[in-house]
Amino acid sequence: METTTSLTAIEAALPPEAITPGTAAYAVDGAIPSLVLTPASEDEVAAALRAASESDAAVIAMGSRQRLGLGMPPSRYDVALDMTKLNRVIEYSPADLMVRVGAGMLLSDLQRSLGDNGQWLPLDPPGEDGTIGGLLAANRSGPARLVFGSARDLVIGMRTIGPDGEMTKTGGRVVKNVAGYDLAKLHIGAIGTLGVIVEATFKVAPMPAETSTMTFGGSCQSLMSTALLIRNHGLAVTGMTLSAAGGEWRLQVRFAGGSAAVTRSRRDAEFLAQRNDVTVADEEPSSLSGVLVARASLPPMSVQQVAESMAAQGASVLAYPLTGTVRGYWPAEPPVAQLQALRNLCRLGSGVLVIEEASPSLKQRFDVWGEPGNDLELMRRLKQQFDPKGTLSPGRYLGGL
Amino acid sequence: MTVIPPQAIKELKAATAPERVLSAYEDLIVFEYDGTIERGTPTIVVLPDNAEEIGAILRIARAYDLPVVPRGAGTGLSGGAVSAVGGILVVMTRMSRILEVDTENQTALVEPGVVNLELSKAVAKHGLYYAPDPSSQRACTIGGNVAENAGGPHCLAYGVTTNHVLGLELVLADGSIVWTGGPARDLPGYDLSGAVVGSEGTLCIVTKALVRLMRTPESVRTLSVIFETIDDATNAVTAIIGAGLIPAALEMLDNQTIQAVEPAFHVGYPLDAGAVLLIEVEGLAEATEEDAGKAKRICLENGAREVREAVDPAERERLWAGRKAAISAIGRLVPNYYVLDGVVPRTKLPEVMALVGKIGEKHGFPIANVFHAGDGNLHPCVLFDERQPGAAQRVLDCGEEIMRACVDAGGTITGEHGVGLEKRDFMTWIFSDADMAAMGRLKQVFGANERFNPCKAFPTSKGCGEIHSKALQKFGADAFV
Repeated sequence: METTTSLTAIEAALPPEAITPGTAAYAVDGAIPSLVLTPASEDEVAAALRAASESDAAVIAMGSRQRLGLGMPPSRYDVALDMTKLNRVIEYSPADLMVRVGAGMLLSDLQRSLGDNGQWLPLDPPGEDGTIGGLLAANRSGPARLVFGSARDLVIGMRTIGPDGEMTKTGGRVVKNVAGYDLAKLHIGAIGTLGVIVEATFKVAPMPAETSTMTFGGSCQSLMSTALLIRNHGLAVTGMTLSAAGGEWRLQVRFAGGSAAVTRSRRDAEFLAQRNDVTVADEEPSSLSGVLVARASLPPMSVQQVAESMAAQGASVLAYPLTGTVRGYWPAEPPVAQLQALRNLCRLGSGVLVIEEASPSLKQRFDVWGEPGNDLELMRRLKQQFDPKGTLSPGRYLGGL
Repeated sequence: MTVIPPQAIKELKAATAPERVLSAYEDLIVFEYDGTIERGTPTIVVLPDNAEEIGAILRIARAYDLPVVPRGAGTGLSGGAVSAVGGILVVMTRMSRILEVDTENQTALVEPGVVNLELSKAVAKHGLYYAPDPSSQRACTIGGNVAENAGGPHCLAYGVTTNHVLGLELVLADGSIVWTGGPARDLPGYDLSGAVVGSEGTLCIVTKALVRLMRTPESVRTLSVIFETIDDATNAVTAIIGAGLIPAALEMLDNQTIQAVEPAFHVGYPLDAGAVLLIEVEGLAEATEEDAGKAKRICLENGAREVREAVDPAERERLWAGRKAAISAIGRLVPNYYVLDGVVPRTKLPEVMALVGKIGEKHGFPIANVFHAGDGNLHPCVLFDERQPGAAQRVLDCGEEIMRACVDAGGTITGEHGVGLEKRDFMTWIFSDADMAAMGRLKQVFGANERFNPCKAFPTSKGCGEIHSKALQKFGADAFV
């Protein structure tokens, strides 16, 4: 990794209290930045980015620093941009089901404000409490995606700042809006390679009158069939989780809505489960962690085979079967050949395998993103247009972008 | 007007088929308008059969520096598919095959010329349907829906086109064919499909779309609620959403619209009603029972004169027919009309509705309102007679003032019709130069220069100035909102 010679211009761009030396807490794939900048306003974010870009420094923006394992090791890394001070609700109109928040706000803090008004942001990555900007940049979602979609479906407006310090806005604050290109979609899941998200506007949802969950146990296959049957019966389900730990498979189903609909749904689900030799279990899926985390994204019908294959490799599994996300958590890094076999299996099932957490050495031997499609050239041009000097998270994204 | 060299015509015929390249005037005029007021005659029309042919067409266009405009069924409501400065019009209606239906994964792979409603009909036997339902769904195509990010009454609960597109095959301006997205979600790399949806045919031509299908709900209940005043009706809308109830659809017709719809469709709306609210709830029978009851109670609390429920599918169909063809019904009563598309925060509906009425009065035009109340998506319809001197210009002024009122209320200039030719100059009201420069960079990424669907979606560039005044020579095709 190259080091940058002079960062004095960057230090001059921000007030002293916003500048600290880099520490291991801000390391990305083992690389420690020279500086940590903690801007307190959009203007300071802009100033930091402009100065960094002019100094040819490389910047990685981050929030609660939980998903820094995403992507390939950065080709350069000089400045960590800590966004956690942009942590306010900027505008909230409960009657319009709309909220505008700073990117550094914690999801839990936002949910608390919304909850006071009987509402929530239906973005529920389990056991995680990241910043809004981080959740968007990493495109995290959870079981609620089944009904509410993911970040791309919930964001109605966004403000980002580019490496030139220019602030750009897309969308707005009404739920339907087709004016201008929907640039927000490009920033979601882009791990900060096109711009730094400083603010997002969401449509939020009313909390259901009643929520309850049921957990079923059985084989992966029987639980998957149960999940599909429940889907096909249109029951009042707002999320499903398929999990495996220590060889035990569980399907957790979350029902929500009015009391009569929830009661009927629970009854029907139990009946459908019995038809598949699935029993009601009382265990809740625990939150999982691993040295290596891999995500498969697949059409629903390919989920079972990939989930079983991960479990057979000794990984714990957490999947959203109907939206096609399967995560495996390995207690120790498996051989690359094993991951390659899994990736091939995903490809056969019209899906992909992305490594979300691994040692830098494994990343050098196994591309975390996999083989790009024929839209890579467009993505290259996009990166070139939005970050011509490679200031933002260089080298971490698909195809070395 | 653009002139196309004979050699280019020869090449277009060779790349497609001689009978699919049209240049006789009587063939061209069929393609000169869309669902609204804009007019523009293409110099030549080409009807390709596949992506490779489109690639060849775009390469020819580039070689001869000719304008290119993609077009579906021509039901658009902002001039996006109108040939603004002549050139090649690429009409996608021959590419209308449903290529694949995957009932287990609940997706369909379709060509862009597939008619929206035909897709839902084709998958109905599997208990599935395609959710976005623009009022033009009997005629409009999926390709056009993708270009405009089309909405519809049921988008309140299920989202607009972008929420239902998983992947796209595109032909770029240089003729290359690219896939973005696919059957799995969260593919590594930038969400290019997300940026293409709603780009109004200004970035590329979509040649295949992989879309999500949804399951037909067990129970659907449709209420039609009669209110004395539009204020009571909008208050009821706010109260319904405020109570945590998000119906599948929440649509409103004002008195002016009722006067047009009732004689045409005999839905049973009282002619003296101030507003009719159409509420549809979907889901399990238990859920719709509860939600319909709740909606009814809230409406009565907010001054509803009467709440009726469709007792059978035929009545439901009739209620919806009245709604979906409301604008056409208006068209029977007046010589001309001009449909607008603005969005405001739902809570601003009462004050903006009042303002819309006042703006109409000021300019001397009655305004009929039929709109997606749950989304705050207004469709004021300005009624006028183009034979009156100066009427056309005053209508545009009136429309502009209404759009301005939407923006001032915290809303936007288009919720589902697109910016197109019509509203490109209003973009500066909501976007800064830097915002639009970023959008311009996306055009660079796709290699789409100013000859690719010229004069659309962004503020006027040179050579585009006179289109609007030409458009004003004719008004009032059938429109759907």
